[in-house]
Amino acid sequence: MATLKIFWSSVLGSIMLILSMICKTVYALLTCILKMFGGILMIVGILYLVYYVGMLMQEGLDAGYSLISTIAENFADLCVIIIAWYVIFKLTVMLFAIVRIAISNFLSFVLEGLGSACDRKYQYFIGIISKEIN
Amino acid sequence: MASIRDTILKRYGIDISQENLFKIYRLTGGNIPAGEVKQRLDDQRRKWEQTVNNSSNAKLLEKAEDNLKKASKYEEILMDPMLRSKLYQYYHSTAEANDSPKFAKEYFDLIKSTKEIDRSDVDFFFQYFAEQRKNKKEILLMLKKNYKVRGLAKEGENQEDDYVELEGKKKNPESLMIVNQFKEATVIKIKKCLEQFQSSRQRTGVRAQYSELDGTLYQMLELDDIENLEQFVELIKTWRQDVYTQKQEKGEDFAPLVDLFNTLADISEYQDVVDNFDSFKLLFKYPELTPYMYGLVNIKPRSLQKLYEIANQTYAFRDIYDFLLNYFLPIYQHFNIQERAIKGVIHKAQTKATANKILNRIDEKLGRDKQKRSSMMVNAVHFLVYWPIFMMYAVFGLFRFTVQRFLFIALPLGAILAARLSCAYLCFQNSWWLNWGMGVFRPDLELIRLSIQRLQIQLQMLDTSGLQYQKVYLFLYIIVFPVLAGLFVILLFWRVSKVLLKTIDWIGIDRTFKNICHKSQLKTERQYEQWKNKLFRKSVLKFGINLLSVILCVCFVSGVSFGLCSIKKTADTQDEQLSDMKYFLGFYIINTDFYKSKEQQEKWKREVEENIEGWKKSWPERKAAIEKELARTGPAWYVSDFADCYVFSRPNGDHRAGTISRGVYYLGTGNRKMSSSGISYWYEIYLDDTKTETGWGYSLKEVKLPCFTITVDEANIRSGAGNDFDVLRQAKPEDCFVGTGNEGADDVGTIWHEIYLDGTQTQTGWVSETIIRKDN
Repeated sequence: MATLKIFWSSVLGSIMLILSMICKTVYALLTCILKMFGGILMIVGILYLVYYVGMLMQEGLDAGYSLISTIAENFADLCVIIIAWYVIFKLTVMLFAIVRIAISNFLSFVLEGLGSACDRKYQYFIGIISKEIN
Repeated sequence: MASIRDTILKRYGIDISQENLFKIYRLTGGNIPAGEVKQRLDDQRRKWEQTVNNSSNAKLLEKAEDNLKKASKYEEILMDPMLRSKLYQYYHSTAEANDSPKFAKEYFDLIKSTKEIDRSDVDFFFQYFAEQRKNKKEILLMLKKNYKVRGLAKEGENQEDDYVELEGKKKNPESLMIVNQFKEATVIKIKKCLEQFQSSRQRTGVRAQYSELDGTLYQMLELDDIENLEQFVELIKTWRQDVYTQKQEKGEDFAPLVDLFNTLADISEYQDVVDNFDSFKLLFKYPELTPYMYGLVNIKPRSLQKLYEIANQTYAFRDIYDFLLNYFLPIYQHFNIQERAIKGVIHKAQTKATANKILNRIDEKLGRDKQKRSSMMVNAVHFLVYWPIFMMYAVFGLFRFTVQRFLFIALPLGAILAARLSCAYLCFQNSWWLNWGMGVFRPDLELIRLSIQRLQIQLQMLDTSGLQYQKVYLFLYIIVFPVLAGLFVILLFWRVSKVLLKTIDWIGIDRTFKNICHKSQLKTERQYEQWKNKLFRKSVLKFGINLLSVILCVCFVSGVSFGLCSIKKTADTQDEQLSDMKYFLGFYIINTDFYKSKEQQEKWKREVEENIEGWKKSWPERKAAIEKELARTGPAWYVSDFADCYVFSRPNGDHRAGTISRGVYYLGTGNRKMSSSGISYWYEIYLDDTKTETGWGYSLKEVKLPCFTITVDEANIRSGAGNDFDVLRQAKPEDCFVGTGNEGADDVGTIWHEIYLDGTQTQTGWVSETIIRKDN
């Protein structure tokens, strides 16, 4: 029943191919997100810092001080904020790096393993089809 | 006819165009009884054996030995009645074509339609079609009579010497050029290459060594993948070395192959080949058309149609435009086209170039070969039997297409995401982050319209309140953050696309599919040749099996879908009952399923629209309230009547300064700030009675109670309205108290006000109007 073999090998091969591609895409997507997350964290951190300093300045301006006076007035606060922000940011990035490695390994184990298994099955079905055609 | 030739060549390795089996065995017809054929075959074998044993003539001996080697294959072919009959038909029709001047007439008819035939055309004809020389007399006669060609040799004059092989000449500057591009010597050399290739194919040892000989010369040289002459020269060099080594090791069988690559190496040095390499490839791809193209000069639409018909006798062009785009125009491009009608056809073909390109790619993917014509029936059977494979290939193709164009998908996706985020912020303000996911990928012009209206209101409010700097935050929320999010999505897709393109072997998978499609096509063709009449009947079973499998698949998928739908329906009914409750609790905001149906989406739109309409209507009133609020001075009392809530050290919700209890009244400091959304205010309040600690609270209710401030250094608060009552406590200047609204007079007529002594409003006391100031 060569036709049946070809038919079911094609159907199952298609499913395996789709699964394999999906696994690879999801793996690539998550890996990229993880890789980009450091950058996102930095952008968010910087934006937050700018926002915070902006608020501080705004309060001074609202109270009728000039920009220079406001900076001078809040200089100590600003220094503390920037240093604290830097320390917190660095710690977060370090912590995230550890988490990232763990997640990457897990993803690699699950998704890449699944993708490779599907790939092997797809190759197996392609082999059957080639054999039947020859 | 080419098919029976190919079948025998593939199955037995014998090229029947080079060896006439009927002539060898002296058979007179295709329908001779099997007994008689067997008798003839045995007789002929005996004769060859005798020659081998007895003959002293080296030439005869070699020929007999060669025939004896192939005798078993010859006999096998001729003993098969179907093959014998087809073979007879083949020789008969070929003989007709070769022996009569019909072919020559057809050829010169076409040439005549474009130019006056002269001696050079005739010379070329006999040079190129060497097998036609045996009918030379008849052809010359025909040319003189029908085409009035002058300058031809007289009847009976031997012209054999005139047709000296041109392969020795590298270039004849006086010779004609194929459509202004190729010299006659090049064309003849290409013909020679094809003959050498055919000769190599007939040698079993050579074929066993090089499976590439199964295809055409074009396929063997993989000219499709060769882009320039340098690559071609390199390829020829490699092949040349290889076949030469084989010849040294395995003998003279490889001589034609060595000759072939020597000739190819010679050709690659010709200037016309160097100048026109792309057209040169086409001469190898469609060699049957080369002599026609050589002869044609001022081509007319009629001759073009005729040329297309001739091309389609051997090759498989879809239509005349396919022929023009893939063969004629690339070769003909340097021609000075004068004919208007041709220009029209060419223009029409060029307009169809894109569609043709797509169809060509489909043909290529499905393993269809332009160089070989296969019948519609073969294609139909092939498709019906192997469609599951095509389906699989299509799945792969679709995925590949998507991944390769991830960026094009990501660009609109990122833009939609950014727009939706802006709209979600403008329409939902405080809970925008809960709402951004709601139909965020659904392009909705209505939402954009509503958002623009909302933006106008907000800008108006900020202007009225004198809070222009808040526009910066607005800009951040509706432009910067959404654009960053959109860019993130685009960047993500781009990187994923790059990773996938690197990690998956697209070309390898594609090649495997192409190979499978091509092999299955060849198999169908072979089967079609073998059982021309029975194939369809045999295939019916295969179609049936395929069909049954499809029905099974559809039933399974439908069953599963139906089952899932039933479960969902039950869940939806329950959901419906809960929806009112959800709405009440505000959960509808995050329940995106709630908006899935069209009615629900409409309802949501109505809500937003009504909200905006309400804003517009109440705007004058709100504006007046804002102005009044801004004009008002002095403290007021504030209370959170919803729940205990946090107060912050700054009016932005960043640092908590403490908690305030529900229902407790707190005195305001008089400072207030409009929130970035422009909807409500942050109020600064005193957190204790000593007025040392303050905090900023949001969404607090302002209480319109009378407020009394002490104006003297020491004020007694008594238990009743009069100096006779006990002093409950003493108050300092600028202490504020909320009045209960009760008042009374003492004996001398002084007015006393009842006040609350604490924020929880449990204790009250009385204070004289002479020592207080009423603030509101």
